[in-house]
Amino acid sequence: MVTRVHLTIDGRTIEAEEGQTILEAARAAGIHIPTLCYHRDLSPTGNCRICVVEVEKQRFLQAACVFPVAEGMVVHTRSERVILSRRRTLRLMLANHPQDCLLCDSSGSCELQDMAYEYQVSAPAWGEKGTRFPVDSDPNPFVRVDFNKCILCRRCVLACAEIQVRHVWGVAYRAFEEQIVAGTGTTMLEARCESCGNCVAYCPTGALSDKMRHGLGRAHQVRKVTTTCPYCGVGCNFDLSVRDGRVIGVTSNPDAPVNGMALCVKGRYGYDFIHHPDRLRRPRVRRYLLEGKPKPEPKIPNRKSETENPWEWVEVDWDTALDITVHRLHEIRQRYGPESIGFLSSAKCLNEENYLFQKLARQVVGTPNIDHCARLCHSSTVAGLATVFGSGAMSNSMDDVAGQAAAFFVIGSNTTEQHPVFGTMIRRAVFRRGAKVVVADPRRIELVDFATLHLQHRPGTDVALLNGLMNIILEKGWEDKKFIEDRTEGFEEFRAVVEQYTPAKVAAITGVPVEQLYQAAEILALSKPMAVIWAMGITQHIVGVRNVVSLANLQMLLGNMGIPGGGVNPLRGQNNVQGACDMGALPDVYPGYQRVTNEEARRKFEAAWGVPLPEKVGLTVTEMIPAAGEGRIRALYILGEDPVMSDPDSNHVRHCLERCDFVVLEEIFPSETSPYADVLLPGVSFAEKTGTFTNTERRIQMVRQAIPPLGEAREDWRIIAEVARRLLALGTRRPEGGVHAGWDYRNTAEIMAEVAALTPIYAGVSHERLERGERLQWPVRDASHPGTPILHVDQFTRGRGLFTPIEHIPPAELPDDDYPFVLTTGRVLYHWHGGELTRRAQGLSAVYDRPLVEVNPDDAERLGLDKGRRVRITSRRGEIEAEAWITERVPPGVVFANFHFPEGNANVLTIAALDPVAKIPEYKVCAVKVEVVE
Amino acid sequence: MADTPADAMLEPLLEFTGQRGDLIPVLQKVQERYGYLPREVLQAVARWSGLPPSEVYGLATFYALWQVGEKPPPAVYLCDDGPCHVQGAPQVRRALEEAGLEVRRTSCIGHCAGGPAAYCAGRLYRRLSPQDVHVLLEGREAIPTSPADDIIGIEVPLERALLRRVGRIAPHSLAEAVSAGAYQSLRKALTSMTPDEVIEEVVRSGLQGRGGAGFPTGLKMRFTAAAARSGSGPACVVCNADESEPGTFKDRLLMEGDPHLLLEGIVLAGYAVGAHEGYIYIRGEYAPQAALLEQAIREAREAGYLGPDILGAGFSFTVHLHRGAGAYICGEETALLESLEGKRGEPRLRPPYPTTYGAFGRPTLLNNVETLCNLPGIVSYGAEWYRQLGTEKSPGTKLYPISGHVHRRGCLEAPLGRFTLREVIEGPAGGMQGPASFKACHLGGAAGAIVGPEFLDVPLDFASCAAAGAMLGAGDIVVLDAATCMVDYVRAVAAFFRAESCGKCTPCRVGTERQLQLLNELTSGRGTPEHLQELLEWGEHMADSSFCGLGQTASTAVLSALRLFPDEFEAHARGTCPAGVCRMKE
Repeated sequence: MVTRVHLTIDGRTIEAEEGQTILEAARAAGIHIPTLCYHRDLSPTGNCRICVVEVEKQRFLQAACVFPVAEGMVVHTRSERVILSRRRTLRLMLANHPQDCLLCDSSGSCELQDMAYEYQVSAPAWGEKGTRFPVDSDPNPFVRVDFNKCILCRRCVLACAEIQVRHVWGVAYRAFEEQIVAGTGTTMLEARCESCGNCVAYCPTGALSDKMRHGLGRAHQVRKVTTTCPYCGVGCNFDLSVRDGRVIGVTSNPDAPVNGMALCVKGRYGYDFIHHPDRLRRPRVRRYLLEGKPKPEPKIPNRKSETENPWEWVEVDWDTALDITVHRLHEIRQRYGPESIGFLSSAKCLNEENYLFQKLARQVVGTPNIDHCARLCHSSTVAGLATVFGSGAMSNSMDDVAGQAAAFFVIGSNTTEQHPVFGTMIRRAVFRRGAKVVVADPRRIELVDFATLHLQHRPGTDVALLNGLMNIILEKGWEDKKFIEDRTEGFEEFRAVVEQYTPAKVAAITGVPVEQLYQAAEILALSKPMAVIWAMGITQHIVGVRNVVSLANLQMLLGNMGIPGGGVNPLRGQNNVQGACDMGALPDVYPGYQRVTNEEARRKFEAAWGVPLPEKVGLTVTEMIPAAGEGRIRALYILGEDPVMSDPDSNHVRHCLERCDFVVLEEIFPSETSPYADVLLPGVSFAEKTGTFTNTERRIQMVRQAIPPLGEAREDWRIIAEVARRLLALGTRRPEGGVHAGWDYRNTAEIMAEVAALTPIYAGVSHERLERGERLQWPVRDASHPGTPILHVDQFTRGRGLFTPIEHIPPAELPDDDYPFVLTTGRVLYHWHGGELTRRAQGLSAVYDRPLVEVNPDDAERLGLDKGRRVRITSRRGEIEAEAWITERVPPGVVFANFHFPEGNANVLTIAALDPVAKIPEYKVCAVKVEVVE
Repeated sequence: MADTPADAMLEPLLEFTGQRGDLIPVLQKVQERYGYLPREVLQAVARWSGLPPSEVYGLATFYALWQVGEKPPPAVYLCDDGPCHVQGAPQVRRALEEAGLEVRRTSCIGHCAGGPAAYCAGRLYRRLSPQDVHVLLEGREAIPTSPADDIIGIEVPLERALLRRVGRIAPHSLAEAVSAGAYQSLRKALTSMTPDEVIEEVVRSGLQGRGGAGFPTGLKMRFTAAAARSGSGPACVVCNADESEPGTFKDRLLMEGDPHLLLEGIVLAGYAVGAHEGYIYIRGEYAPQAALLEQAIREAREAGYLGPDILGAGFSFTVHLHRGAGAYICGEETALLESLEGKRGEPRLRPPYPTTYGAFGRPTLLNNVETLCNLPGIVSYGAEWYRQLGTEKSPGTKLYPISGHVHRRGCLEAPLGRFTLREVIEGPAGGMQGPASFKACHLGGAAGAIVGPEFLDVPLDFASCAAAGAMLGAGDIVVLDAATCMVDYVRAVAAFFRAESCGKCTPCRVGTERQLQLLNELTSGRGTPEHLQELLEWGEHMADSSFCGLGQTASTAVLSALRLFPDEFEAHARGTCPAGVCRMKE
């Protein structure tokens, strides 16, 4: 029950809630009180004294940001005494602040400067102006530290503690010597800084600023463009600062729906790939194509004679490149049929582009072979959840689970590195409200520091672990009987299987002690609501679908579906992998998961596009590439993907691509895949186009063009549309009728309108609504539907949730005498996917500049491996060499490698063993041997 | 333990429970054993406690008694606060420095009557004169002192005085204390009074807090008991033994002369408010007193005056001793609570007040040593008796620590209002020290005001002093004679605040720095009339806009001296020191 109180501020009587501060009450009433140390996201401290006000009956001035309101209180916010105090406080701040606004990067965005202007206060002659501390005193590649400009407001300390929950910054010393320090007086990175730059975002002065932006432009010189981050699926929004056609920085946008002011190191500081000199600015074709000669064999050329090398790249104009592209595609189609052509779409591209790309495949070429890298990350999630619930996507919202879950079960998700901003939301839930976290992961990931319990199960034993936990839940009678009764089916068959997974048996399979199983079951069952969170650790197995189904079983068993703070929460990896799936860049579904095998759906799209459509399900990524090696696929059109880096068993991928007749690659950089391409079409980065991304929680958000395409590069949707128009002109197909058969789009808003018309879950989505600031999570049923933050509230898509009994199956390749280690793979905080972008971001590469293979100290000792030494990792498919990082992040017998660097790419080693349903490869387990490089 | 030095340094950490409140005592032990806090230790503490390294470092660098990172060279830590300053600290400093000794300033160490005071290599030296250089050079033992040395008069019937046993019993002997009457009022309360009766007795007695603010103790007790009853958690008692006010040393005398009186007062307070736990927060500089208290707690527990089922009456109470580490601000009650919880001693906003949200969030009765020492007498002899002492508005007996230019320096116990300032100087203090006449008095501690001859006939009680425009504060009296340079004197006071500001709020952090800069200019012949204007400006600003009492009073002495002695300040602004004390540049 909120108690209302009445107080008078500057003669106005206002109503406020008991417990509010004077500042909160005043702001709610539209009364402005200036602040410096206060920020609405952070705990108020009352230390700067700028917000002082006169409270009658109080002897001294009081800080409005901390002083509580009371009934009958009389406050003066602009009395002579108050104004004098503010001016004096400002003078004290300015006395010891460098007078270098002329050169300061923060000029124009500096709150101290604004305040000095507002109160017309200049610095007194006395004081130390820029001589107390070294300028740019920390070697962090992103954050420029100049404590001469610090006013000790402590917002950085609070931002690091309360937003990032990393506690790098602290307040040290006292009196006039008080200063902000990192850790125990070390550098930021030594103090475990994650370089998120959130301290910079909250700093009101130039004490902390963006190093990469130093000297490049200030607030008044830039145009800010609000857009969506191109990295992970969390979907943070931020502002790009643009000056003279260049993106010179990223700043937080306080109104960002998902992240507020918070960003991670990649989002805030990983933008400089945009202008990297490697960017493709003109189309390229192989010389042989220009000369009308046959494709040379072998494909990887000797480069002895540069001029006559038929395999060398020649930069050409768009007309030539497109002409060659469509003619070759047309020829191959004519000769081998439409199914000989495969389309690999891109989870990095816009929804609108993904829609066009699958339309190109299905309508213009008539092939069912369209897929994208979701195959490699969450195809098992989609398939598994579809089995149990009827549809497969994150059921709840990030802010919902972060704010409401009593417990989190984080299994197979290295959240704080892979979805860093959501990771910090979980940390905040632990730090601020004591939420419990159970981490199940073979590695001791960073989140374990915040966990109530860490279950360190063996790689590939998730089903057994989950069945074991559910066995205990049933044994203890902790299941939600009402939910099971009201909303599910198949429980008895499910129970029969789970009952076989006794704790002792599960402990033997997983390596998790029985008592930990009981502890975990208790936390998960008795903390309600409990949210399950997973990522690739669950999905990238031959049992990926089984793993997902088991998690869905768990959440039904505990009645955690359809409620705030609960749900199944797969975290999508790429910025728009959710959207690429939603847009039908999958071989089995049209946009909005309308199945290609469903006649009604097919008819609808045939009518819309004016052509007959293939009835069968097409090939997946993991099938198309081998098919290329076998000659069943003759041409591949790859949009913004780097399969050589990201697909399993890269040597085999290279081999297959080499054998493909014609490879079109639409990219922004030359990649590891481009040596195998015949045509290279320069697309653009997220900063150069407008459209939408859909984040992991089904939130559709605007991406806005900040700069024109670099060089002659073109927005990808324009390229796709042009290819389509030209192919149709060659007569690949002849659409008849069809409201949406055409390809004359003037902008992506028109494309989204077409998507909405054909896609029930996007029916109410439009750029117009998004530009109005509406926050939409699909399903959005119509133009007035508000979207759906939580799925499965009253019933599941398929009606009743289907309990599905699941048995444990061991991984495809287990260690043996020859290959005694388990290799598990993944990513690191500072890099992204195949590293195509992040290796070209200077700061990110400075912090993490080479591939590191994680080796447990016990194994290192047995191997005779010292710090900084290199290891050779060999699997049955290939070998890599990389520096070893001796760390307890991995248990004995397990090594971890990433796939960010061509020179040490884990995917040289991984196995292309596939989940039988989802066709997702088992990246997370294969057998290797480890040797010290002499 | 492992045999590498770094590991050995971690040994004191074995006692560390991981509880944040134990951080300061543990770090204190490391500091005492090694003379500094190695970074590795701080990192280990962070690991073991789960606290961020930045917080441990912030904590460790806050306290003056600790040196972080590297071991400092040996030095004499000489007090140069008001009393020691006027008693000759600057001359001692010059002599020591000329002899090649490293001299560092320390804030008041609670031996004002025995000043100039210094400590060096763990030894305390009092009444230093420039001739004592060889004593320090040779590292000789200091002359031992007894609390009785610092008592100059007890002007109340001895058997009921606060100082009744100080200097008359062996302080470490429980038996002597008991045979001299200790714990009799506790027995009385536990066996014949309800907790509410104890509170009401205290309310009726009119006892006001002796820490400086003079808040009615009985009311605090009522609030605390009520908060505990209304479910704000179990109450506790915190004794503020962080006596750090320059000029104040009375609590030290009570603790080192009669520790059981304090313990008895704490248990009585606990009984009254329904608490079963008490903390004594004692300033880090009072190491011997802490040891004595620790022993007294142990013995009292063994004898059944503390612990479970005290005196068989079914009431249990535990007392924890918590040592500070050098921070005047921790005498401010909310900063003390922060420090008690193992944090930097930065003040909290009030409201909420400690009575509802105090130590570890619990309702807390927080009282000064002297206040708590009054409780046994009130319980034993009743409120009516107590009200016979002192004045109508300020009842009871008061300890007045007296220092400066008087013949006899030390602590006087007298009923409040019994003496005027003149009577104190001429009576117990034995008159002015030398031929120079009375010029001014710094009343109530560094945070108090400077008063002049017009104040000589004001009775020394809370109400009368307040009516005359100055706070009695903790009751300390620093007498200054006509040869004193007031600008020089307040410069010493300003230096104290400059060193002791916690740094949290802008007005105090920068204001104390600027205030000292200005006074440095004025006392070195570089002063200008603008400097006087600025002194006023920042003085006013700190007083009006600071976060806590420290900042609000950091300019009280300066502003009052400016008001009383404008000519002297103006002379300094022209480059002359009328008293001939300041070394003005040519």
